[in-house]
Amino acid sequence: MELKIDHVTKQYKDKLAVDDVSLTLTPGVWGLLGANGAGKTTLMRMIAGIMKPASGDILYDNLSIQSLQGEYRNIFGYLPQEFGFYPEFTVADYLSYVAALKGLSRVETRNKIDMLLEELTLTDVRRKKIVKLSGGMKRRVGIAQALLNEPEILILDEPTSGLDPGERVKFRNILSKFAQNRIVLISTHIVPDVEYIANQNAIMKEGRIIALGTTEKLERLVENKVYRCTMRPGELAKWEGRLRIVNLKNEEDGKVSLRYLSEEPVTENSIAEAPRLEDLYLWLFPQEEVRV
Amino acid sequence: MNKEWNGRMRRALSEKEPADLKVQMERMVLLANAQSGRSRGNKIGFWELLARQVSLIGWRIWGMEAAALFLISLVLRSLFRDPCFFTPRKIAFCLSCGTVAASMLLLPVLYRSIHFKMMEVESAAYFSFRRLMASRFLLFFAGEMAGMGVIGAIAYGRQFVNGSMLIYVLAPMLLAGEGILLLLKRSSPDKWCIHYACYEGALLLLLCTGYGVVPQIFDGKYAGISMAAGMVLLGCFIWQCIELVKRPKEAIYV
Repeated sequence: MELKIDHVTKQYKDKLAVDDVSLTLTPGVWGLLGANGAGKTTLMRMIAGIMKPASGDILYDNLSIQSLQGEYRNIFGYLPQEFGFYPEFTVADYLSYVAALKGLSRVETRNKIDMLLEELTLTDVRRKKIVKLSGGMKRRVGIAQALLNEPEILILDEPTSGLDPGERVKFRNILSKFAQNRIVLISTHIVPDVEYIANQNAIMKEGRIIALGTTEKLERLVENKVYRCTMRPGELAKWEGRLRIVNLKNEEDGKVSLRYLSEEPVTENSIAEAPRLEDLYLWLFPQEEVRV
Repeated sequence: MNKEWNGRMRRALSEKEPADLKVQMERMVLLANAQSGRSRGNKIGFWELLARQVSLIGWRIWGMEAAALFLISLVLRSLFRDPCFFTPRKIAFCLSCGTVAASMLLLPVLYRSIHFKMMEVESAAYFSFRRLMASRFLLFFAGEMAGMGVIGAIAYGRQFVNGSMLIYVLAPMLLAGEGILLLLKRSSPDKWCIHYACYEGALLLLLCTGYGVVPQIFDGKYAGISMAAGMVLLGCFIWQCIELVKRPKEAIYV
């Protein structure tokens, strides 16, 4: 099973949203990282078949998804970044509605809904109107609808937005279990969401894939560029704007501990730290940094 | 295994060895994979989709239609009480305009998916967005027919209201319906609402212009021609519905 994105481009009126992107997705969890406006959502919409590329093609097992038509839609599940609900729908109504759109029979619908509600801890709210649920619960309902047809390809656009840390951990575990022999593509700008479960990551910037590889391989790109040091709070001002600070922490002794990115250590007491994927993200997207 | 897949397998096996065997083998593998996907669970057909829409959203569409038709009938009733207004020509004209106005109720039905941000989820499902909208249109149209039938049954036999008035309801309804069916097939979904609003506006303008320039067409004098035109419209409408409901070779992209 293979999903090939072949030199895909998408142009809006004043912006090249996706610029000649090529990527081959194989079974496993794929992270698609990038800042807001990088082109992740546009790329995902094209993979989901709801937006046509200006050029290039998307191939499933070497067949264009255009020629597969409904058969392609049959095998994937999609959770968009922004999705809503009809206000009169309860959780069960909504899942029944989507199940009908996905072509599931009534018996299948009933069984799948029961299973998914239990898996995602939504059984207690099955008869509650979705508009009255919390943000995290709504997001879980969205995930449930994407999983209704047991898709072979699962596309999730910012799936953990609004989830609390416990829910995000649970979500990661569900996805890891689900991803066996399936292609799961998660787009996010919350790095920890994919750091621990993604087999491969692609980093997108200004419509292009600028880095691709396993988490370990990508972390090595910022090896020897991550340092930690401590300093007195009064010294911070001197480094203001000069350091790319990843993390700032007040220590018990009154000093401040900095984790920063730099080609070379900038203070005598700087110690090299093992890089994380988040460090690479901040190295590539400096505007996302924490400023002093 | 379904008949279509059996047929394709039979044809593939009976063909002579192709020049590019590798390509043929790949296609066979894809066919087998696609069939295994289908045999994971047979998909429901369009009519079952339609039936399941009734309990989830159909009642809402019909409730809205019933309320709107009730209001339109109240307006028409108050107009018909006016002795100066009460002529067959004016009745026919008002019925035609009322029908077109009632058809515009389809706009909120079409717009709902966009308004409530459901369009992306609906577009990514097995049944294409166009067929989903076609199912909503059919629900709407069934409601409209039923409503018009009820109003017709109540009004039938009253002064100036007879069978020939049917054409002044049926023709605008069918014209409006064919317009939306054409849009569902040809136009981009994000433009359906504006295109349909323009189309309905043009129909109303045509009716008003016709009433002003050639008012005789509302006299019921040309009953024969009108009925023939009505039959042609009905035939076109039914054919378009069948075309839309059948599994079309439509592009995956909405």
